Parts: sequence; C-alpha cells; structure tokens
Amino acid sequence: MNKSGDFFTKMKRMLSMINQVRQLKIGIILLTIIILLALFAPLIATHDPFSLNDDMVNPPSKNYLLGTDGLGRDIFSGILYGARTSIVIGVVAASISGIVGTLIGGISGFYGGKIDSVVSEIINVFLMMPTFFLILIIVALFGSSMFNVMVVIGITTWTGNARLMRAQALSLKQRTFVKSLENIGESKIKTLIKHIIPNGIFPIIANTTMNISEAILTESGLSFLGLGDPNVMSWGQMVYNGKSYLTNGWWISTFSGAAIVLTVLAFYLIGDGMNNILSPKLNDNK
Amino acid sequence: MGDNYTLEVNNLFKHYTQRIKGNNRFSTVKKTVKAVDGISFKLEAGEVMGVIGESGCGKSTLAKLLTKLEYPTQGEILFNGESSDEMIKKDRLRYKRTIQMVFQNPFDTFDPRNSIEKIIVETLKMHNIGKTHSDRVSTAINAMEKIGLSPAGDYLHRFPHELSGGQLQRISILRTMLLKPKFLIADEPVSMLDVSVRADIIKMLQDLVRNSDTALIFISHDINTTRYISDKIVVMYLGRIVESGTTDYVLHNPVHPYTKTLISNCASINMDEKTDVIKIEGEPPTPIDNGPGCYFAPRCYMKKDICFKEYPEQKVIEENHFASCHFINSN
Repeated sequence: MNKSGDFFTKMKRMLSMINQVRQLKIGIILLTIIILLALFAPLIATHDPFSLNDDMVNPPSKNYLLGTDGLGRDIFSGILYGARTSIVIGVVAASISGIVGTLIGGISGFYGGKIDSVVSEIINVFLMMPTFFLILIIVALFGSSMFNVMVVIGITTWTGNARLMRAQALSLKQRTFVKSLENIGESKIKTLIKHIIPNGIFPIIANTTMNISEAILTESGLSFLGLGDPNVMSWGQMVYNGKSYLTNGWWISTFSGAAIVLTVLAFYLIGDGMNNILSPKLNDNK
Repeated sequence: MGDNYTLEVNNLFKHYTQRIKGNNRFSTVKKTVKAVDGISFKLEAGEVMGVIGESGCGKSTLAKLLTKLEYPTQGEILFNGESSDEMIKKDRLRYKRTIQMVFQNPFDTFDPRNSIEKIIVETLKMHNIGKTHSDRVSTAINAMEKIGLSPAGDYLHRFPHELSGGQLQRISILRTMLLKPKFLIADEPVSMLDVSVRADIIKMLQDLVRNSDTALIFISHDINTTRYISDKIVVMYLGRIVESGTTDYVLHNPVHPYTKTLISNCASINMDEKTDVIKIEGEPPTPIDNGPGCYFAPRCYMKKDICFKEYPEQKVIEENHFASCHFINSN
C-alpha cells in the first residue's frame, strides 16, 4: 500500500517536473514519436525499404511519400526502419560508454592515491586521441558490423563520463555519510557500488542521453563514409546514397538528414533538460 | 558487562604533510601539520571522558584516529592490551563493533537515498545480528520505540531528509548502539541541533551508555554540556593535552592558563556569579612548526622566557589531575 502510494506520488512529481522544463517536455514528446514510429515500422511503412523497383529517383508523391532513391527504394520506409538502427546504436553505445565511464571514474575518484593518478592519465590519453579516426581505423580493421560500431563508439567515448563520475566520487567521499558507512564497517567496494555510484549517477544519466545523440551522429558519419553496416538500413547510409543524386533528387539526403537532426535534437533536449533538473544550482524548487 | 575493558592510547601522533610553494618556482617546501601531537590517555569501561578545546585543536582528528578512519603517524591504540592495528587486520567488523562513533552532522550521516529501515537493517545484516530480515526489522522497531521514536513503523519508511536533526541524531546513536560497542565516540553530537532537543540527545546518550556499560568519549566545544555528562575531562590545545583530570577537579581548580581562559569565557546562566574573563588574543594558530616552547605561549597571559624555550612536562597536581605548564608547583 505504502509503496504503491509512494510510486504514484513520485510519478506525479516527475510529471510536474517534466512539465516545468520545456526542453525536456519537447524532447520527450519528440522521442516518443520517433520510438513509436520505429516500433511500428512494419505497420506504417508503405514499402519494403530494401526492395528495388523501377521508379528510381522519384520525387515525393502519393505512392512514395518522401520519394525514392537511386535504386528505387522508398525513402519514407527507409527512414522508419533506419530509426531502429540509429536508436539501438545510440542507446547501446552510450550505455556502454556510461557503464565503463561510471565504473572507471568511480574507482578512480573513490580510491584515490596511485590508482587515481594512473587512471587519470589513462583518461587524459583517451581524451587526446582523435576519437573519430580511431573509430575509423578500428572499423576498417575489424569490419563494420553493427555490433562492432556500437562497441567501438562505446569504448572510445567513456572518458567524459569517467571524468564526471570521478569528480562526483571525489566530492561524495568527503561527505559524512561515507565516513559513517566506513565507521559502521561497510567495505570499500560495497560503499562504492551501493552508495557512491547511485548518489553520483545523475549527471552521468544526463550526459549519457546527450552521448546517445553523439553516437547517432558518429554512426551516421561512419555510414556516410561508407563504413556502416551494409546489412541494416541506416540514416547515414541514406544520406551517403543520396549524395550523388543531390542535384536531381534533393529529397534523398534531405529527409534522412532531417531524421538524424530530429532524433539527435530529441536526445539532446532530454539530456539538457535533465541537466537542468538535476543540477542543484538551477533547481529552485527542492 | 562484568568484563573490564580498557582503552589505552599511547603517544598518538598524526601529522599531515603539506606541500607549499617555495621561493623558487620549482621548489616546494614540505610543512607538517601536527593535528594530533603526542596524546596519551586511558579509559575504563563505563567512564565518560569529555574532550574540550577550540576549533582546530585536533579533537576530531583524535576521533578519526580512534575509529580508524585515519591512521596515526606514530603511536598505538590498545584495547585491553591488544593492538588495534592487529585487531582490525584480524577482524575488521569486530573492531568496528568495539569502537563506534556518532558524527557531528546528523543531516549527512545517512545515505540520502536509503530509508531508515534500510539503513538500520543493513547495518545489522553486515554485522550478522539477527537471522532473518523480519527479525532485524523487529529489532529496529523495538530499539526505536525505546528511544521515543514511536510509532516506529511510521519512521521506518521515511528518508533521512524527511526527519528532523534530533530524530536523525537519535537514529544515528541508535544505530551505533545496536552494535553494542565497548567504546563510543560522540564528536560534537549536539552542536548542529536546536537547543531544545540537545538535552534529550544528551540524556539519551547518557542512558544508553550507562545501561550498557559503554565508555564514552564526548568531544565538544561546550564546557557546560561536557561538565554535565563527563567523569573525566581532557583539555586539548594544538594537538596536545594541556590539562586532564576528573571533571570537578579540573573545572573547579583549573591550573593551566589555557583551561582557566576557557572556563572564564564560558557563559554562565547565573548572572550574579562573578567571573573575571581572561582575554587572550587571536585564534589558535595552525599547528605548523610550533615549538620548541610551550604551544600556548604566544597567546598566554602568563608567558615568560622559559615558555618559549622548552615544552613543559606533564605534572601531577593531585590524584588524577595532570597539567603541562611551567608555573605549576607539582605535589
């Protein structure tokens, strides 16, 4: 009873908070639409996105809502199916980056001392690396399956999260409750996992949401350079395919590009909105 | 309860090294902050020892050293003759059950994301007290009812930010006492609370300590409170004990000029009581490179040449009353 009541009041509070921050509201509405479209792609799509036909480079019309590309594939259906790829890649890559970053940053900040200086240097090394070119090389070497792309994006972008978590851990470990846990006998690793990370995770969540949009962009960039997974439909590839038809078929790159922009924008707005809510300085109503 | 536990602290030092930029751009000068600078005392089961002194005199560092939140530079802490270092190596949790600490800030003593139930039950679980979850919950409820947090069921599901400072401090004390420690350190437990609940907390501490024969180290600025609760009193200045002894002896016949100053500056509720307030200048300096003389000498109203030359030895004034000053005639 008590718990379910708690749950409802929490939901209510969350909803009112979402309503207060405009970016978050718009972002969530946008994202919900995109996710719904991606989920129900088979129902909504007017054509099979892979099927070729003779109506090549057709402008938007009744039959082809957003036109067709150079091989006669329907752009509208392609965008719907591409949304799945982009969202999955974005979410998985950003989650990998979030988890790796949180753990490494947490350990570094909480344990301090030599571990911290070594890990900090590693973080600095990763920060110095031109990430996109590293991803290019790895994808070129190990092939461009969707899985590879996700993992590679994940393990090259964790540094931001690690630095955030490290800073959180550094400040949290000075708090009395951490000392009190140590005093009561909690082991260090448990303190880190059960208390430091849950208390310091909020900026990471906000940052991870923004990372999703960055991962989507990176994947699109890779696809645009022809290094995407050829077996799945992706927006980057569609923009890439449309490049050569830009003069007589503007719709190919434009609509797929707009899809990327909208999705990135949605995640970015959510991330920014969450930052607004979670940062104590901007949070008046607590 | 019959067993006589003693806590013995021998020549405890805690020095922090600071690197400060030297004159040269690349040179750094190492400076040592002597937070605790050679402290020895003994505490028997059931005794209450008050530690008083100004801010920055090493009271809290002493508490951290005793609970092993910090490790001493030198010196040893013995429980019943057993070295604390070995105890903590052998069985960390047993050591934690031997000596516990109540923190100054009750608002930040608990993980803000955990409910009171989780806080208490997890502590019990960690120390293998009680067998099942419901067992531990009922232990928690019983204990909470006993200290006046009733109905306890109401409090169990609340979060720390939903309780007042006094309630939180009670839970903090309760949690430590559930572990049945032999020694309890209370680091200014009431300084962040409203005056109205201070007395309750002190009373509760006192009752718990008496009922379970726990020795209490009560750290405070407040001489009146300390006087009320403690049997023995220790006056600290810049990491050293300047005067120690039975509370009544020390507070009625202070011999060290620092103790005299502290007591004379202590507010009294009795308006008629005449006290000549002794004024001293400045604040206690940071304990960097002090000495060779008496640490208090620069601010002392009785200072003479000898004070700046050597640190006075500890002298026995009467039984259980010690002080370190050059101008004491020891018996």
